[in-house]
Amino acid sequence: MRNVGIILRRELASYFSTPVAYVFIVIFLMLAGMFTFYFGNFYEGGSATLDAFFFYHPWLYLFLVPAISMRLWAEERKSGSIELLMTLPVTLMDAVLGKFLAAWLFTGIALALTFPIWITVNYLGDPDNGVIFAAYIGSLLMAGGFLAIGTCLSAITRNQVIAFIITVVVCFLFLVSGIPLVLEPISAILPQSLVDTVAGLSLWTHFESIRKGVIDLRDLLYYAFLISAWLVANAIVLDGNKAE
Amino acid sequence: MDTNRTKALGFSALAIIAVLFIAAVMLSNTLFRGVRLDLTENQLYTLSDGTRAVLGDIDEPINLYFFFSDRATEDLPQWRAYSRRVRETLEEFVAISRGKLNLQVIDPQPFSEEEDEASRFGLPGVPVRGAEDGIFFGLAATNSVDDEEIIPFFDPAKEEFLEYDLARLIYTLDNPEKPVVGLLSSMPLQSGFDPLTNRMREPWAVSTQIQQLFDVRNLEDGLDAIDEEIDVLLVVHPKSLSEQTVYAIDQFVMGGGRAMIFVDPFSQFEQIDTDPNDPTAAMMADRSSNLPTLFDAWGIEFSAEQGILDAGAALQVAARSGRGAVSHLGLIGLTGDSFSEQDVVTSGLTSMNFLIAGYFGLSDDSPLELQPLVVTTPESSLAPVQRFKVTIDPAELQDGFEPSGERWPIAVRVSGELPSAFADGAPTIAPVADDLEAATALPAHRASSDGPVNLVLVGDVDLLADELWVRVQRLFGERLLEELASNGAFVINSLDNLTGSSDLIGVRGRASFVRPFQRVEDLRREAALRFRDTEQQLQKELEETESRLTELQSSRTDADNLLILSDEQREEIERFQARKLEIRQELRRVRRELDKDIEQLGTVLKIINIALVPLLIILFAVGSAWFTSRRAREA
Repeated sequence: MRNVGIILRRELASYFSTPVAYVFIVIFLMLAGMFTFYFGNFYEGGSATLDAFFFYHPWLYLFLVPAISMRLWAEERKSGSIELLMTLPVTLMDAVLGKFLAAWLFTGIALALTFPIWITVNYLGDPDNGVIFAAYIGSLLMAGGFLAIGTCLSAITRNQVIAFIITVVVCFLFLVSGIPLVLEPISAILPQSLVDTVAGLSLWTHFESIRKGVIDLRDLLYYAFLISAWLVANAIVLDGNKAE
Repeated sequence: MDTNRTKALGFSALAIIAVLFIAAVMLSNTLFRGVRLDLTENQLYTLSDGTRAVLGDIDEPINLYFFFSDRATEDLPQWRAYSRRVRETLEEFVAISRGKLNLQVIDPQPFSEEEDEASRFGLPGVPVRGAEDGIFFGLAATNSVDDEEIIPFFDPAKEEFLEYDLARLIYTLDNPEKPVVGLLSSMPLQSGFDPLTNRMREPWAVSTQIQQLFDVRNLEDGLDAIDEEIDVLLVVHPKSLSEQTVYAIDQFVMGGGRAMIFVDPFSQFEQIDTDPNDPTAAMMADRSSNLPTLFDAWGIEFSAEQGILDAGAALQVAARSGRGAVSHLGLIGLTGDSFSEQDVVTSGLTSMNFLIAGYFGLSDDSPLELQPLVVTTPESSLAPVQRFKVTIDPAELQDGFEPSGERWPIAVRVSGELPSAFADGAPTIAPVADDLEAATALPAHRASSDGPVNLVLVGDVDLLADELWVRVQRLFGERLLEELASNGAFVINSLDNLTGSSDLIGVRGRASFVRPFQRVEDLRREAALRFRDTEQQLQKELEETESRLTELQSSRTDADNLLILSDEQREEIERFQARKLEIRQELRRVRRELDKDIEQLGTVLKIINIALVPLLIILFAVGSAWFTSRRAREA
C-alpha cells in the first residue's frame, strides 16, 4: 500500500509539471460552465437545482477522461519507461492502482474546482444541498468508472491516439447501454430480463439514480465492481505485454 | 509457444473477469434492494413512520396486483423510470409488512389473459404519447374477504402522494367497514320537509356524496356524549349549541376523535324564519356561527364579525341594475396556488368557491400547530359582517376596498395535544328527574387529549350549498350533477383523510418543493416596484402636461383670433408637446430597464462560473512556471 502512495504522488506531481494538466482543467471548467449556462439554460430556467450542470457530465467525461487516461500506459510503453517501472520493487497491481488513483484524484480536483456553481445556486435560491452532494459523489464515481476503462485500454497499445479512440468508443457503449436507442434493437432479440441487465450495466443509469439524491448500495457496488474489474484487467493486459 | 500460452491465459482471464463483473452486478441488484442513503432534504425516498405503522398493523393477508405494460413501454424510459419507482415502493411495503402483503407484477400484453384480468378489476388502458396501444399502469388489491380497491392509474404528476395513496389503499382493505361520520348540522343538508315551500326538500349534493362513502349518523343538539363508534365528527354551522353538546364535542376530540368543523361569519344559505310583521328582522338576523368556548380554550382564533373580500378571486354575478355582470368581492373562486400542495386533502383541487368566508389564526399560547389548506389571494381584506347585512348590490362591496396584501387562511388543519376546554370537568346539567342511571353512564371526564388531535376547520358554510359548486340537472328522472368546482371533493378528501388511521394522517405528501431563484424574483419585484413609482410619476406628469395643453388651447377666448396663435402661445404649446414626447420616451426606457438588473446578474454569474476559476488557474500556472524557471536560473 505504501508503494501505491509513492506511485500516486509521483504521478500526480508529473501531471502538474507540464501545462497539460492546467489546460485540461481549464477546458473542463469552461465547458462545464458553458454547457450549464448555454445548453442547460441554468439561469433562465429559474430553478434552484444543479440538474442543468450535472446533466452534461457524462458527455464531458466521455471526451475529457480518455484524454487523461490515454497516456497513462501507452506513453510508458512507447518510451520504454515501463521496463524501468517493472524492475522497481513494486507489484503490478501497486503500479496500476497508483496510476489510477492519481488520475482519479486529478479528476476530483478538476471537479472540485466547479465549486462556484454550488455557491451560485445557493446565492440564487434555496437548493436541496443533499441532492447536490449526492450528485457530486455520483459524478466522481462515474469519472472513476471512465478512468478505469481508460487506463486498461491505454495499456493495450503504444499509440496514445488509438488508446483515446478505443476508450471513447468503449465508454460510449457503457454510457448508452441504458438509453432506449440501444435497448430497442436488443429487446427485439433478447428477453426483457436480459435487456434490463444490459441497462443495469450502464454508467448513465447508475449516475442518474445517484443524481436524484439517493445513494443506493447497488449503485456504489456497481461502480466498485466496474472499477475493480477494469483495473484487474489492466494488470492482466500489462502482464501479457511483459511476455511479448 | 510460451508467449502464445500466456496470451491465451490472459484472454481467458479477461473473459472470466467480464463474466464475474456481469454476475456481480446482477447479484447485487437482486440482493441489495432498498439499502440506501436518502440525502434529499425532505427524505423523498424514505417511507414515513406512519406508513410503517399502517403496514405493521395488517391483520389479514392482502394481495396486490401491480399492472404495468412492460413490453409496450420499452421505448418510454420516463414511464419505465416511474414504474420502477412505484414497484420499488411496493416492494418496500412488502418487505415491511412481515409477510402480510403479496405482490404480483403483471404485464398485460394486448389480447392476453392478463389484459382481461386488468379489465376485470376495472383498470383502464390509458393512451400515452409514444405508445401504440393504451398502457396499463395501475394497482388492484384484494383482502381475505375479497373486497377490492384499485388505483386505476399512477399519475407521475401525483408522485409526491404515491406513498399516501398506497398506504391509504392498504389501510382501507385492512379496515373494510364503512367509516362512521357523526353529523351535527343546523343547515338543511339532508332531504326533509321544507316548511317554507311546503314540499319535500332534495338533499344537498355534498350530503349525497358523503352518504355514498360513509355511514352517516345524525346527531342533535342536547346530546350528552358522542358515540365512540363515530370515527369523525362533522359539525356544520354550530349555532348557540347547548353547553352539554359543546362539552360532548370537547370530550370526543379529547378522546382522540377527529372532527371537521364548518363555521361562518355570515351564511347566506341559513334559513331564517321570516316574520311577516317585521320584514327587516330577517335581514338583520344573526347569520354567523362559532364555537367560542372550544376555540378560545384551544387558542384558535376565528372572528364571526368579519368576512373576507377578495378582489383577486371575485366571481361575477348579474348586476342589480340588470346591466351586465359585476364582481362580487365576497363570492370568491379560489384556484391554483391558494391550495396547499403539501396536503393530500387539497393538493389535487382545481378550484373552490366560497361565499363570505372567515379566517383562522392561532393565539400565541395555543398548543396547536396550524397548517393552512386554503388561503385567499393577496388582494383580499376584511370587512365587518354588518356591511353584508345592509348591502343589497354586490357592486357596493367595492366601495372603499383596499387589498391588505395578506393571504388569509380560510380552511386549515390544526393538530397537536390539547387541554379540555372544560378544566373543571363536566358542566352541571340541570338534573332530569329519575335519570340518575343515565347520568352515571357518562364516560369519565378527560382533562386533556389522548395523543394529538386532528381537526379540519373551514371558515365558510355556504361552500356546501349546491349553488356554489354543482349544477343539478334531471334527465329521465335521474339527478345528474355537473361539478363546477371542487367543493365536494374537498369535503370528501378531508373526511376520507380524517377517518383513516392517525398513522395515515401522518403520511404527508412530500411535495418535491418548487425551488425558485429567490434572488431573481426579488430583483424582478423590486424592478416592478421601482418601475411602478417612476411610471406613476411620469404618467402624472404626462397628464398634467396634457391638461395644461388643453387649458392653453381653451383659454383663447377671442373668437376672432381663434385660428391665429400668438407666438407666445405657439411656443408654449410646442414646449409642452416636446415635453410630452420626452415623457413618453422616458416611459419606454423605464420599461426596458425592468429586466436589466436580472440580465446583469446573469452575465456576472456566467462570467464567474465560466471564466473566473480558469483565469485564476492560468495565472497560477504561469506564475509557478515563472517561479520554477527563476529558481532554476538562480541555482
